[in-house]
Amino acid sequence: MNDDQFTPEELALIQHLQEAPKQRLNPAVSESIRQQVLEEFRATARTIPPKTSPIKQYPQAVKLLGAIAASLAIVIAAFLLLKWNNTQDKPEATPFALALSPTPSATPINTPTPTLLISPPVIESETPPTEPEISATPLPTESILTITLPVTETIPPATSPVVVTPTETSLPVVIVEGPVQSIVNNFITIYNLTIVVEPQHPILTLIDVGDVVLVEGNFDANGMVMATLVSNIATSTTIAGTAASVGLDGPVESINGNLVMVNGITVQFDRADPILASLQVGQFISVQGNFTTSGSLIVLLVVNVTVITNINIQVNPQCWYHEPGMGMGHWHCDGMGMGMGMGR
Amino acid sequence: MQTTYNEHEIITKAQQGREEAISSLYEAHAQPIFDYISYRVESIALAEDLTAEVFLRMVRGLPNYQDKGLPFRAWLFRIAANLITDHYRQVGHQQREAIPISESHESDDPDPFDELAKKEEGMQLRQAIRMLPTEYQDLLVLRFVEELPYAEIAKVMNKSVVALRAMQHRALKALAEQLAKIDPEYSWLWGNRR
Repeated sequence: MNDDQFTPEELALIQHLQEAPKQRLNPAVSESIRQQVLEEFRATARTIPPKTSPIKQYPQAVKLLGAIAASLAIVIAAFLLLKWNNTQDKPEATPFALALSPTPSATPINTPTPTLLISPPVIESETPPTEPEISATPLPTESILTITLPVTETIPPATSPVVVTPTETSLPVVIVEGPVQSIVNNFITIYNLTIVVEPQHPILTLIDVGDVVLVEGNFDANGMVMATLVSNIATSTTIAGTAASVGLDGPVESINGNLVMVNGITVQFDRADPILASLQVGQFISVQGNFTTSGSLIVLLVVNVTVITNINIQVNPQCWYHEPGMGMGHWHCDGMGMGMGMGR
Repeated sequence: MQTTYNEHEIITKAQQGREEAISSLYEAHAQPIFDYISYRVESIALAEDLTAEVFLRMVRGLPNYQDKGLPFRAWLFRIAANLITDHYRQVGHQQREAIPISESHESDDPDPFDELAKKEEGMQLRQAIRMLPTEYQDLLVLRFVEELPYAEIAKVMNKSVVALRAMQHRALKALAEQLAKIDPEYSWLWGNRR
């Protein structure tokens, strides 16, 4: 207030305000509120994992990613060198073993499209080496390198491997498949790896902790995976020659032309799809498709759709509707993941 | 606020799930928040309810809270201001002038006459403030009762500091007018008419 200019009357009034007796919060009430707040805090902590910065949260992942990045750089350099050598002189492609270390000597690899298959972290012994050891063994025919990274801490066993596919023109693509450990806002954790999804992406409303999802993406500078695809069904799901990455089951909430709302997600049908003609609000459908951007909207582009006619949600005690919280609501059934578990 | 009170550290601990950190945040801010709300609403019970709601929302919002350089209390005052706005939106404005705060835990002054006089003055002041436009209420209470700096008030009220500086004179004048309406004794505050 030092730099404010007040009249004497204003100053008197300000003094009156400042000297007015403060309303005291009754100690008993205050304690009651505190207990209420702490109960809410405990309840919130049970449902939302504690927030920490992604880097601090995954020191082990950072180590692992650093090792992966180093190995990738080495292999790509070797690959480029090899390709350059091939243009000069074409050596005979013979099986060989390649040992990689953080400062390896370059060894030619005769492979036109190298693919790294990085197995999940494996505990080699109770006293593993402190620095990751990287060894690579290219297969003779397809030139696939299998890299094993001994790590110092226990990691849950992976059900599927992490596949890294470098190309000459783009950053390595990371593919991770496994159970979702946590979802905080648009950050998903799988095998302690932080995956960043577009904040308002509808897939965030389709997956829950424990669901097995498949993620494709690229590492960013902080070692997090920027997801380009999050799939809640197996990537091998191919219908009529078209792969579908997302499964969505639920009641039709509204129909607007070829746009159908299911569980709060906009599903885009082919305008010529004959199902559209008979589809009605309230019908339960199972959709497989792929998310795509349509203007400012992210829609689920239908690959396959099935109208379920013999389902009664009311009598299935294992199914319930997730009320919309931060996002949109959706159906969930015990032990079945999303919807009624169809298409999974 | 004590110099040893490292709020940033406490907020981080609270975000990591430490219960004692939540308790510390509540301890540090409950009284000023309650005091502010009690100026803005008509009853102690309601002020207590809204205070509780402020801290419940704090708990729910903490995972997404980002320290942007302003004190944590600015965020809490903003939650409180929004809650008060919601409250009046729900009940309408007809109740605002009707029920003065009747219960009080205001003062420990041992002189009963002095205490009564102060209580009476305090009630008149609160009554006058509640009759002002909402923005004036917020500005006067946050600036002169809670003594927040302009930068924090600007954050709470979503106004520029320049606008707040200009507004405070109008708010003070309006308060003087309302006080004079309640008790002519205050007439001198807005024109030496005593």
